[in-house]
Amino acid sequence: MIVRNNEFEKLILLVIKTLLFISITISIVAVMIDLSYMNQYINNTILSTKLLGINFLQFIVVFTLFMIPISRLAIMIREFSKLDKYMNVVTELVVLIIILVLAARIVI
Amino acid sequence: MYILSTSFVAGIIGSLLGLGGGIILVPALTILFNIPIHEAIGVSFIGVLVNSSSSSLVYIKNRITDIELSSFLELGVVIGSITGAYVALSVNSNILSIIFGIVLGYVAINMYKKIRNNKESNYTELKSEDKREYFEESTKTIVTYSITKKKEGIILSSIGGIFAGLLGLGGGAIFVPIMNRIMNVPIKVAIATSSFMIGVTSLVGALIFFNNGLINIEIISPIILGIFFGSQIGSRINKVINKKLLTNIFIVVIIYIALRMILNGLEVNVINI
Repeated sequence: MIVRNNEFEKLILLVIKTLLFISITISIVAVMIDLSYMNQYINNTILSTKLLGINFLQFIVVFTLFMIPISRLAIMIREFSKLDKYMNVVTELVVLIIILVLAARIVI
Repeated sequence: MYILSTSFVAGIIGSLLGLGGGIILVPALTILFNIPIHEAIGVSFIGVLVNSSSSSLVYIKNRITDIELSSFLELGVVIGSITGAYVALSVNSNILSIIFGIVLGYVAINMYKKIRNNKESNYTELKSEDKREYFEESTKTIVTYSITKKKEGIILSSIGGIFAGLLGLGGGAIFVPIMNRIMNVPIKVAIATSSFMIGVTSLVGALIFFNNGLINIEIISPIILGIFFGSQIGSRINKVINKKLLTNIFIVVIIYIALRMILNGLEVNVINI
């Protein structure tokens, strides 16, 4: 019988909630700046910084959003290895490596 | 602002029909805003990722997501999704539009069958070591179930992953029937597990499209907000609305969109909405 691990689910929940909150909050700020044309007047180094050719705020939005599945995969690998479920560990590890390779291709 | 309101509506409809935002967002962006279908699929992955994360919050909190099952199916689904995304990049936009229309037609027929039959797979408790359980809120009981036909489940989920990667959809319309009808998973658990898995498939698709410059960063923020708040409101409306009538209306809308996508793909001139 598989009994649901409460701590495991709580940790995943906390990570998703935190990252989604950051992403949504920064999206609101980005949309407000865009709609009010404030970016024309704000001469801020943070706002004008570009990472991978993307506006700083939008980079943070995309980055935190992309981190949601990545962090939950990392948590699942850790928790499955604690429970000695090595088949699941290998599966999740392969998925995580695939994702990291795809992400590395963007950066490099 | 128009994209924000469109993705808001897509989020509401997707949530009401349990389809995720992608199935409405992609045709809306291509038909209403003339955004090339490849770019629409690219941003749709982001919308699907938001939708999956926010719905996973509720499902995990209610303890109905089968995390171990998602881990079991995930590798096949991810490989399918990568294949689908690369096929999408190499396929002509007209062909992609026709495929999208056909898949939309399939979804509409599936929805029609579902409300006509109004039944789900009668999962049975099997003599198996691999028993699982979830808490059924409506009856306040713990329901036990066993997963069957794992190999078939992996193969079919991988095929589902191909469509998810190809069309920028979550794939819930494909994964849920596979888990429920073939693997004997209760419908609630199937929906929750599917939306948990979709996060990874949409991330894979998004990374591939991002790498090929097919994600329009300028419209990402309004899409994230529209889909997020739309799905939140949709899930609240869901509780008070006559779902059968609503589903019937949207079946007609989805068939219309499917035909528009097919006609667009065939380059037949249609009078603009």
